[in-house]
Amino acid sequence: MIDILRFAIYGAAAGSVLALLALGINVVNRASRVMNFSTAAIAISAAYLYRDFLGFVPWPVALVLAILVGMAIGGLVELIVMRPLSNASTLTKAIATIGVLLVLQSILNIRYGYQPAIVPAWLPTDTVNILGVSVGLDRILTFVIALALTAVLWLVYKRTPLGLASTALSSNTRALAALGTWNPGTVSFVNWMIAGGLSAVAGVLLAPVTSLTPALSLTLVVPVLSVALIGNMQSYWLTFLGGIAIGVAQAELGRFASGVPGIQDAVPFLIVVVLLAMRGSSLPNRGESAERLPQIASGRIPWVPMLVFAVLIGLAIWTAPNDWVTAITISVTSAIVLVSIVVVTGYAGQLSLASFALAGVAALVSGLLTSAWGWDFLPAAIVAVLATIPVGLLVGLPAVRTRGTSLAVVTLGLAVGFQSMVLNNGAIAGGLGGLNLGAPTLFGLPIDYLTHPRSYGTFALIVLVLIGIMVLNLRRSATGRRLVAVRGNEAASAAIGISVARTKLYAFVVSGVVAGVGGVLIAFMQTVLRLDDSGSGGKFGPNAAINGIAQATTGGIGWVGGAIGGTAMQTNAIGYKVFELFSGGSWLTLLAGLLMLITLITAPAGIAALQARDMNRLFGLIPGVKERRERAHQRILAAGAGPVAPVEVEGASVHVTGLNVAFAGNRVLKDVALVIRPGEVLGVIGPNGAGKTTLIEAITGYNRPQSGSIRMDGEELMGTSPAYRASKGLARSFQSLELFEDLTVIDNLTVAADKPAWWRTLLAGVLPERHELSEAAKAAVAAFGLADRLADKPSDLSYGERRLLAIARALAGAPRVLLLDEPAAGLGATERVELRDLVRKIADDWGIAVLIIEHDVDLVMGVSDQVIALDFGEVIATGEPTEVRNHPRVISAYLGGGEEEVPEGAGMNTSFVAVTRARGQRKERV
Amino acid sequence: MITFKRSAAVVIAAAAALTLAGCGSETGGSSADAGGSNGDSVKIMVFGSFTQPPFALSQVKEAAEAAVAYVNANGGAGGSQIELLSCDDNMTADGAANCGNKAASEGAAAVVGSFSLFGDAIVPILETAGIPYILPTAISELDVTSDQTFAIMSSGTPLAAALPLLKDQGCESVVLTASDNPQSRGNLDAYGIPAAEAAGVELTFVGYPANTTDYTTVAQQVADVSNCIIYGGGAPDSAAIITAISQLDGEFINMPLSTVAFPETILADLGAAAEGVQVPSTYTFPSTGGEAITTAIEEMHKVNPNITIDDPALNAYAAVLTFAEAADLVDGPITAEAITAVLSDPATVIDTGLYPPTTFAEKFGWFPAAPRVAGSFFQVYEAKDGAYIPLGEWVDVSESLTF
Repeated sequence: MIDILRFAIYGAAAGSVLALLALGINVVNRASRVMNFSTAAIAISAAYLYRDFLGFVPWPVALVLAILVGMAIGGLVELIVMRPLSNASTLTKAIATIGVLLVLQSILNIRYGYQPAIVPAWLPTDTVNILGVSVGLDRILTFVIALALTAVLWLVYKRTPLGLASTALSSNTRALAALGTWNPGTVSFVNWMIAGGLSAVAGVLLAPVTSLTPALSLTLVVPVLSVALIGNMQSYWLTFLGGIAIGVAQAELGRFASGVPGIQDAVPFLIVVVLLAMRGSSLPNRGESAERLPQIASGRIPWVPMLVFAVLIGLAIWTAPNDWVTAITISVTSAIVLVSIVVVTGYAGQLSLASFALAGVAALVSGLLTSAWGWDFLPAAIVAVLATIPVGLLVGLPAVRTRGTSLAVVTLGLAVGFQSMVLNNGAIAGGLGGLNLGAPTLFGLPIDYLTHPRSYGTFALIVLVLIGIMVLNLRRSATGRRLVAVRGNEAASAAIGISVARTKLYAFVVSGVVAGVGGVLIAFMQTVLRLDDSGSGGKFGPNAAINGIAQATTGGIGWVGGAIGGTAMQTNAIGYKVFELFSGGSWLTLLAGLLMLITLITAPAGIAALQARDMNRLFGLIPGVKERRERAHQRILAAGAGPVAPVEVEGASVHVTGLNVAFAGNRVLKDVALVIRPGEVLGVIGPNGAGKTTLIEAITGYNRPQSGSIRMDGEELMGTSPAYRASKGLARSFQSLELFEDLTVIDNLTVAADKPAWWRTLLAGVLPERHELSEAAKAAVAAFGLADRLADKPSDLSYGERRLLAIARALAGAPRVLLLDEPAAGLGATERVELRDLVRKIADDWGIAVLIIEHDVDLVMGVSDQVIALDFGEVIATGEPTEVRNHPRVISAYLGGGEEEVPEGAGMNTSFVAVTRARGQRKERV
Repeated sequence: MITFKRSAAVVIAAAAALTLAGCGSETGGSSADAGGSNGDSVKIMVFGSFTQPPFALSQVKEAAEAAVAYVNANGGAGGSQIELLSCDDNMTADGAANCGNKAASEGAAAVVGSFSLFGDAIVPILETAGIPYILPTAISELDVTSDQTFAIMSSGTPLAAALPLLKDQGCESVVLTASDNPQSRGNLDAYGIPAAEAAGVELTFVGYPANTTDYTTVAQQVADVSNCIIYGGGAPDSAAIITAISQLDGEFINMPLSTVAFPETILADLGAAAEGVQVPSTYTFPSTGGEAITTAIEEMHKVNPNITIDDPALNAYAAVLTFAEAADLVDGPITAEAITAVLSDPATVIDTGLYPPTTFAEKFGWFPAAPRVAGSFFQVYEAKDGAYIPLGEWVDVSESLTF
């Protein structure tokens, strides 16, 4: 018992330092919405400087100076790196902080070398007795300092204008700027300084109980991120408690479960994984914006550059000295793993840091099959790659409920667990002796790396080219469009019948298979395969994962070529070897870090994105290429041209009864009942906050009603997913459009109508489909005048066209019931009239049951067969438009005051009505 | 246009890099048949982990450079000037394989004095190319078993040496602390447990995760087991543990397996915590004042006045001298094959003055778990006032251990 308490106290002190560093991450996240990987590097820099200052000034002064330096570094990072990236994707910003980490760590290496530096204790180390346990007073004080700083932070961010401005900044930069009180740049700068100061405090607290080395900058990243995530990157108290919990868990496990290899590392992470999965939701909540990701390529195969690349690399493999062949082969094999990141993160938008772990799975399985079972290379490789399928599914499971940076840390946690408990486990991975892979052959040809490095390199190159082609095919396929749709907008994807969970899992599986191929090829570069950290240099560990995503992002995470190019920065790979001609060691790492930062600032979507346009222009100069492109463009436009067959759907009706929805005990819909009939338009009106959008969300499955019934042609839909409802023909549009910005107009429409067969999905990498617009989509294109815009991206369209595209997309799948959420918002008067006619046409000619929510009461009244009015979640009137228009409660809800009859046109012929509620009054603004 | 310029700049940079890569490959497109001398010079390669933690040992490269300068200034190796290639494994197996291929491509007559965790990645390549691996710090399995390897020190033999030495000081129970990984557990199983049984002491392993940052809990765990402590880790972790240990109540005997854990350069920083640390080594240390070591120190300081002089540095320096002595004994061209043959000859005695005179072929096998490690003589040094001072006489631990 005494031991448990003693190690709990030690662990709490260690966890306090982690908590302080994680608090810094949370502060930065509040201000810049970025996961800061450089926080520990700032801490270690400050700790080194504290040690330097001790040579000149007393320790209290040195302490203050170190903290000030930490704050200055934080501020400089904001000014130099984060501010130019303010419009970049979340991923790019996060990777930029990895660049900062590399730069700081390299500077420390150059300045202080690799030998540890000892820092004298500045807190009193006298032994004190707590409940019969003797511990150093410094341990107690470390805990108290962290606790006090947590309390101060909580107070500052809860009570002071700066804190409130910081929270506002993370929610909406423009809104904060519009207020005029705070400059967003200043708020961000101050937050980075505070975070730098926190890091510095953590650094000087840590320095005496560790030995300072620059490598600590990286070592601390993984545990600190996990602590930050426990606090949801927001809550200071949860972060503090998370740090303590992880510190205590690691200390107790170290003391009482040290016989289980890796358990100290893995268990805290597994706890984080479970916590985040429990905390998450299958679809983002309303108002929860998706994290922006770098742009992606179209998936067109660049045959000429690809062949030139392959031939050049092939020539190099057969002519260069062996050490260069090794460097090339390292690049090629690593590139395959990075291409797997393109699939899962680039295309599907899932920030996964598990790709190298999945490669490790295949490496391990192929190694075991070869060494222990005597299998030949090819069958061992195939089985090993297939083994990544269940593991990929397992890794992908958290993605069903988490996303963005949370998912990144969850997958990183899985990578840590896998490395610590499996690859580092000698009983599984062969320990010191490793796994003897022998001399592999392929169809009788020797390809063992030891004696035939050129053959092996060529084989790896061929595999890379094939994988590249397959991944590009996947991108252009119907399945690929679904991946990109989910990446862009999960809620909208579900609305067109895409199973978001299944699509994500598919991405993880495909990515895992690709990574597995890379893993096997990396493994067979060795004769004796060591997979543990110490024996492999962490080739499949968490650091490889972090470096991998940094390389892929810098190269261009949405481009296969970007991933391949990014590999150049891999240690020992071709780019590294080139740089080694000029420099070495720390200078090389410093250069790599600086180049990464410069690249990200000048090309936030990666080098490939920057190059793509110029390469297009360059290749356009080749005779015939321009014409071929024009023909391709015309083919896309032709898809929407030609005669449009009349569309008629099998009508369906929706019966809603007794629908109640409440959020946090607040009833938003109260016993709502309505019927949407085929060929009819049901209009829903009501002031802001009446529950109109909540009604659509409830019917389409985006929220969970407390009670009630939603039946479609007699089938109860309550409890079913949005994708299921969509697959039954229940389509919706969104108030905020929710277009798939990474897809062209034609792809936005095609993806809504695509229903790829399972075998198509399976063979997407081999047999991509051409763009085929459904009859409904063609009709929608014609009806909404989008025929000339099919090859454009949504961002190229006018606001009105975007609105029309949103509706066209909802129609593209030939829905039986269509729910339109404020489709006319932002449209001009003429467009509104056209829209009204179109909605009527959809109901009359297509036979679709339509529900329309609109503030433009004239439009609703003009288009609807029936209208219901909502107020405070209650149906206050229902009937034909004229009845509802003149209903006293409707008039009251819109105008406030008494229930006197409203003169014709008053308030109801406005183009936009927004009702605000203040102090129980309702006011109308026009 | 600006974008195009920026983009073009990147392309030009990449092209320049590739051109330079081409320049770099002018030395030849295929591996040499067998390494050796080319006219008046002979190539050897020093390889190891120079820049990446946890063993960023740039002193290995610098020490080899110093030794090559010394040998070349004194007539060379077998009459040939040594041309030193160096290769950093960047703390990766890929890097080690890369270095092996570089040695083969460049026609190196030997790879010398490495400190790398990735022997298993380079040794097969050296075996295929027939290149002798002279005085690697034998860590990986192939380092201690390959016929191409000629080691004088390893990660395992000092452990075998430390146990009887500690027992002589009254330690019945000893704790070995190191980063918990297959390397450490492999050392424990292969060397520690047999040696502990042979020495008659109880050996307990206290491991810690590689990413440990606060070592107070590790120190407490170690102190709970025994006050006789063997440090099996690198400098960062060992220094942190001994600092934390020094704050606990009690008397401790601290014995690292190599000066890698506590090089003289950090003894002063560690202060009282490191006073009395004992380290067994196969090398002659500067404090002995011997001629060879004094010269070695001078030569190393010429390369880098602040060089860290520890076991790996001495090992690298001695490896070059070993190669040079072997080359002097070669009758004919100095090739990798010829050097291998000389070192494998039971009649060959190498005496560099930096480690006891050794006949590799004769001493191989004294420690069954590490059959290719020849060094069985150990001198214990004790840390005093920032330097390691000899404690007692050289001991041949092969005599005190029976397997």
